[in-house]
Amino acid sequence: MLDLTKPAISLKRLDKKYKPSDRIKTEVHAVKHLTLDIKRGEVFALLGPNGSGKSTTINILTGLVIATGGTAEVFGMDVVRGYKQVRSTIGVVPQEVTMDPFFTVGQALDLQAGLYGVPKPDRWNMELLDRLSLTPHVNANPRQLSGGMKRRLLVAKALVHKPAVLVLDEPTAGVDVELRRSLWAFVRELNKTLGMTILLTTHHMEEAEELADRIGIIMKGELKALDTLANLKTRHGKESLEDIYLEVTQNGVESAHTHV
Amino acid sequence: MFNPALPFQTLLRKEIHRFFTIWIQAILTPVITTSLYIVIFGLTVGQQIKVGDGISYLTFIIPGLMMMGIVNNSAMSSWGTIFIGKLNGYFNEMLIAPLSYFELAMAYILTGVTRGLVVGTIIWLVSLPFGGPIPIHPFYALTIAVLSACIFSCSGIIVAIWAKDFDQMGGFNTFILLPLVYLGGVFYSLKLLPGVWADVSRFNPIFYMIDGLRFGFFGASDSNPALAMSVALILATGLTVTCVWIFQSGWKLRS
Repeated sequence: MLDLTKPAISLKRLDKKYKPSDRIKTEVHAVKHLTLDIKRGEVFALLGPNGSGKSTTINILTGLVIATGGTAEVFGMDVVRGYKQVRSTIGVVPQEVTMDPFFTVGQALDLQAGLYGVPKPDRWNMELLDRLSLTPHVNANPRQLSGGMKRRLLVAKALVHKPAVLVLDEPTAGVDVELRRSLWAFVRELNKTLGMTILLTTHHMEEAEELADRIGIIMKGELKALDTLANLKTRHGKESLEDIYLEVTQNGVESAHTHV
Repeated sequence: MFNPALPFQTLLRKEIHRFFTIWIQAILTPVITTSLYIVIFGLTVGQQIKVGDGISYLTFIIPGLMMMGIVNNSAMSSWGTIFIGKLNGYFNEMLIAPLSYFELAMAYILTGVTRGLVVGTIIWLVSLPFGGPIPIHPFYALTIAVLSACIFSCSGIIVAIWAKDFDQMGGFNTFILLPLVYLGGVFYSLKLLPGVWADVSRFNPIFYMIDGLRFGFFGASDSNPALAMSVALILATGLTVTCVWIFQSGWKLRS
């Protein structure tokens, strides 16, 4: 059973090494003993350069990647032992925009709701389509949608079961300013009205500043900084998150509080 | 709010819907191919061939053609679902959905079984106006058809997960499936083969499936029907367990 008194996400000495394969020549230590708790109802932004371990961490939570050490829990449930329950608790907006072209927007959302065990009377698909301005495209094939619409559809699919934890893996990559701001407003609303815990990865510092209660900066698989934006600014003596980010990732300056 | 039975039902419904969406490729193509086989081998060349037991050559090849349809379509079922989904990235959606590994494997296996049986049944229906046979042992025929569909649905899933590109996926069809099907006795009886080739054919699992289906229709076969059923049962069980293990272990699916 999920224990809602426990952290929404709890990583303890989480470790992932990718063995050499066709794609990588030498072993890659993608995540190194990562320890992190994300509280229920929190919006947490995980920042870091490409290949820093952000997506690997997310993929361990969803089960696409198998950790080589440590533990990952969602509301006290181990992501390996309680995988089915954990997956019904999480909604994921993946980084890559991928669509099954066999199904229309409406069908895709309906099937997603079924896959996440939502009975028909409890579905809020039409509301989601409306909220994400996809109603006029309900009978369209995903191939006919623009990049921004596809990304909105991915957001809608991730929300069909009103997940307790929403994982947004670079949700606004390649998205115009207007859509980005409307998505931010929607994410804030979900967090405030439904108490949804949000784990966000992004390369947009403005996005993290706008949304996150706390920010973590990960570099080569290690957590280098972890705190609220205000505390990070004070500690680093910087005015913007971008300056803090560059100091941590380029100059290797670590924030003192890398534990919860 | 969470209905635990719904994820499995939805995945099964989704994949069966996909199969019927491509009905021209999935249903019409085998129907046309079979009709051509019946015309060419049954009604023309077949008039010159005697297979004994008072059975015409056209009637004789129908169970073989049915099994060919079942085998090909069950195996091809996972092409559009797993292989293309894997290449395009959307198969990951299934891997992170709240389905047990058993449910995941069974949904894809049953999709392949359904597709194989639908095509097999249609081929049989198409053959009826040409003098196609009525099964003498319908339960036996149905059981061997279901087990055969299960074997090749599982095989298709395993290959779709293993294959990295179209060459590997096509290679399975060209170098394994096709020779096994054609050398499995679709168009001939083992009695017509010279000794050594008849012995070699007995190592081909599809021979037992075709021969088993013939027993279901005619009550006569080249091999012992109990042996044919045993081979099909053992392979179906073993490959089903393998598929569940693959989803559970994450072989070629999770890194």
